[in-house]
Amino acid sequence: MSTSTTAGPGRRGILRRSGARGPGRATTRLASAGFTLIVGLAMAVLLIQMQGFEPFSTLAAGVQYAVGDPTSIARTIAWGLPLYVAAIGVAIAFRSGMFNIGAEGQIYAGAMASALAGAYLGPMFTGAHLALCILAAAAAGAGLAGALGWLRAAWGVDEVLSTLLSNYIVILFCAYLATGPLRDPSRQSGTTREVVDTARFAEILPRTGLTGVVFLVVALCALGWWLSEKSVIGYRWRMTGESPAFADAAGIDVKGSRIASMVASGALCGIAGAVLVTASQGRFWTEIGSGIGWDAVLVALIGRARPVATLVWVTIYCVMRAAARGVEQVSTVPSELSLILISAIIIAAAARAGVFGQFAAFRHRFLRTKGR
Amino acid sequence: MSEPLTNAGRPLLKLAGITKTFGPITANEDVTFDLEPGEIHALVGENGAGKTTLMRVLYGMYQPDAGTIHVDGEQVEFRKPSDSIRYGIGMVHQHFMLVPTFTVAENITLGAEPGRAGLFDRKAADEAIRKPMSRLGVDLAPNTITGTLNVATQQKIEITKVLYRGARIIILDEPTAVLTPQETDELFVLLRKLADDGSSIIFISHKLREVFAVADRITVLRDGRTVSTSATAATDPKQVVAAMTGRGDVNLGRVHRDAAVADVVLRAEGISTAKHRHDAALDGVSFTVRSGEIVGIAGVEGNGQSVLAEALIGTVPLTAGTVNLGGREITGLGVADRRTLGLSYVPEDRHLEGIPINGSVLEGLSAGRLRSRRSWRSWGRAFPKAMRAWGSELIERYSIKTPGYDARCSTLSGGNQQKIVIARELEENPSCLILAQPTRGVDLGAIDFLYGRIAEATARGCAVLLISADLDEILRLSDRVLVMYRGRVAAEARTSETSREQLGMHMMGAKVTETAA
Repeated sequence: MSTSTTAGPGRRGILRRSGARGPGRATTRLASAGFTLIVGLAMAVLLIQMQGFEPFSTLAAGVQYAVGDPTSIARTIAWGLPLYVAAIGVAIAFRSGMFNIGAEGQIYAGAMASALAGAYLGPMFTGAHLALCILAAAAAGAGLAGALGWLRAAWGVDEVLSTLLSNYIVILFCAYLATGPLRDPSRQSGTTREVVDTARFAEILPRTGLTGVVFLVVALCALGWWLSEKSVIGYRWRMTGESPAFADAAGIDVKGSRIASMVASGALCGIAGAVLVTASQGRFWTEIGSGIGWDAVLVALIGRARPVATLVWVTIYCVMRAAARGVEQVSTVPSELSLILISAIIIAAAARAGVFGQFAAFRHRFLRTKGR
Repeated sequence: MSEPLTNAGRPLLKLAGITKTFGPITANEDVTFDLEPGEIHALVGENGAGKTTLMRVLYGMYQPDAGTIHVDGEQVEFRKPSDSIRYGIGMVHQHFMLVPTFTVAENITLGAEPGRAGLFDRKAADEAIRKPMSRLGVDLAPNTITGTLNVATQQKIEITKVLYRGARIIILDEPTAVLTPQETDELFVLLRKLADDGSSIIFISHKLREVFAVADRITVLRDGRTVSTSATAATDPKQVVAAMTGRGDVNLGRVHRDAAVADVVLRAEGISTAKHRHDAALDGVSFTVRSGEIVGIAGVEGNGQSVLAEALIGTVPLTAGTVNLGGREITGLGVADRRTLGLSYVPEDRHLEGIPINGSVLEGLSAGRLRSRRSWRSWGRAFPKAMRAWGSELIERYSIKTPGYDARCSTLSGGNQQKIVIARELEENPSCLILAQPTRGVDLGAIDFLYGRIAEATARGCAVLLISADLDEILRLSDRVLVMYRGRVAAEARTSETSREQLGMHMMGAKVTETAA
């Protein structure tokens, strides 16, 4: 019997190293993060050296720009707020085995919905107007992702494909709206009308871009963590993601869990879009997402869909981006190089986090074409 | 059975002081094993006792950390399987290594094809496999497609393959797991014939009845060490079990139960399904299970038993027929509703369906309690203190050996994993329990424990449907037994009025009697 019962760990499920709570794992993860950062640092030194600058002082200037004083910290965080929400959203879907790579599209849908609610409703009491904008965004994202989740649950339409393709449909449709019927006639480029003032978060630290939305973001991250890791709902979602056959045989509503987790994921991504509109941009324009949805997917993968790890990685990512902007200012190291650097670091992190194994699992899923 | 071989000079094969560790785990420690020419030597032990590791060391798949291997008195070192093949060692794996779409000749010669320049010389191959085939009494056209043959014949092809490669030492890993009792007997005749012709056979098994039927000597491993080696004639099953488990009180006979059989709890009428994965479709299956009763479902794997279990719990839809539980029709209901109405289920594939293999013990135990919690309470904490205390209490009560409720299920042994499943299912206090292969890959001590819990459940009035490929299990536990063949109930009998041989006949579909439910 001995050979037959040794099934490989997690033949199904995307994030197979889940449910780990043993001691020693935290240190492994820290070591892994440390490795990644060292690789990144070495790469940075090399790239800056190649441009003929003194690497360490240049880097120090970048780090100074990112986290050197309270103002810069606030600025760095403010830039990252939508990413925190979107990354938590993506992680929640991953945890229940739904590979929601449609985050970018859901962010656009949410941004559009909140921009419209902000521009065409009101002015009214600020709190109510903001709530309306955020709810509209959540509804748009949730509806979009939920529909794709339903397709997967009911018809076996693979969500990897459907969410990926939905990005193009949604982003291009929003671009059509912003350049066509809903275009702000007073502007040249493709934007919608500016939201009224009651649909904007007030800055809490002057000239940092850090607004009151930070409280909402903290609350949403806490909610996402609770939902996914602590609640009964999260238990069902995680079981559905890790061991779908077990969940099915145990009487857990697998289809319902898949749809519900996609709804939650889409709602959070939609809210990330609303954060972009109501806390910084003030309107929808055709490039508003600037790849935050893709960043969210990457960060959630590196964080292996654990909410806390994902949030930590979002923070690291934000600091890196800000530092790269800082480096760009003090040297002629172009921003393209900082993007290369970030990509390399992500690859190193991904290698450590077993992301490639996860991609192999996806490929396997496609080759077998067995929609469960 | 033949006379024990204790004389002879130098053994054909001698493993001495074999030690193999995997990280902190010692799989083999100072293991000694030898094999005489013309001998059938059984290697027995529980799961994880180190049988497979030892054989993989012998077959060159693992390198031992310490110890020596002698073949014909010559010390050898096997770095890969081809090394050991060169010394005449052949392995018949539990899972056949045959290409179903290849012909018999292609499969047998695969990896050592006659002919030159990469071309397959059909004639030479047909010629070359003739001799080993006739040694086994296999009479098949060499161009038969392997996939069309039945399991027992495929197994013979596997053995032919080993003989074709010139093996003098044949390792058989759990060869009877896939066979009916009759096919098992045939295999034993064949093995005896091979041994009489001078081949030596290492027979790995945990089924004692078979070991005693075929082996000349028995070596018992426990926890990676050799516990005993004795001639079959000089020992008995009780001693061997004691050596395997380290306990003297393991029951091997019929499980004692005091349960009064009462009203019908589960009634299946004419249920049919579509074909599902590798299993046969159900075709009008009808039966009842009464309160306090254990009904066994016997049959060669792939005759619809797995589908039956899944159709009853609700993961496979019916195409016809009805299922009643306690007088209530549950045909159209989902798994959750069926479970709420008192149905419990121990699935066949423990790692996929029984437990969340990468989840924690507590997550595996609590599925029944968390499944049905509704509405706003689902937003609450899944594992508050009370739940964790409940989990710890279950771990205690079902003596699940684990560092704690938050240990990963995958780190537990098969027996302890199965205890998680049984604990969860029995804690729901079911009126009907479906057991699918409940003791597969479970060690003898844990089997004893699980049977005890099942007997207690029937004493409380639980109706049990026991689906098992292990006839001994069915004969030890059940009151009635149904035999499935090609998706139908081929026979039904009271356990006290039937025999292993009779059931075996029905399992092969030899004689289809009138079905009565």
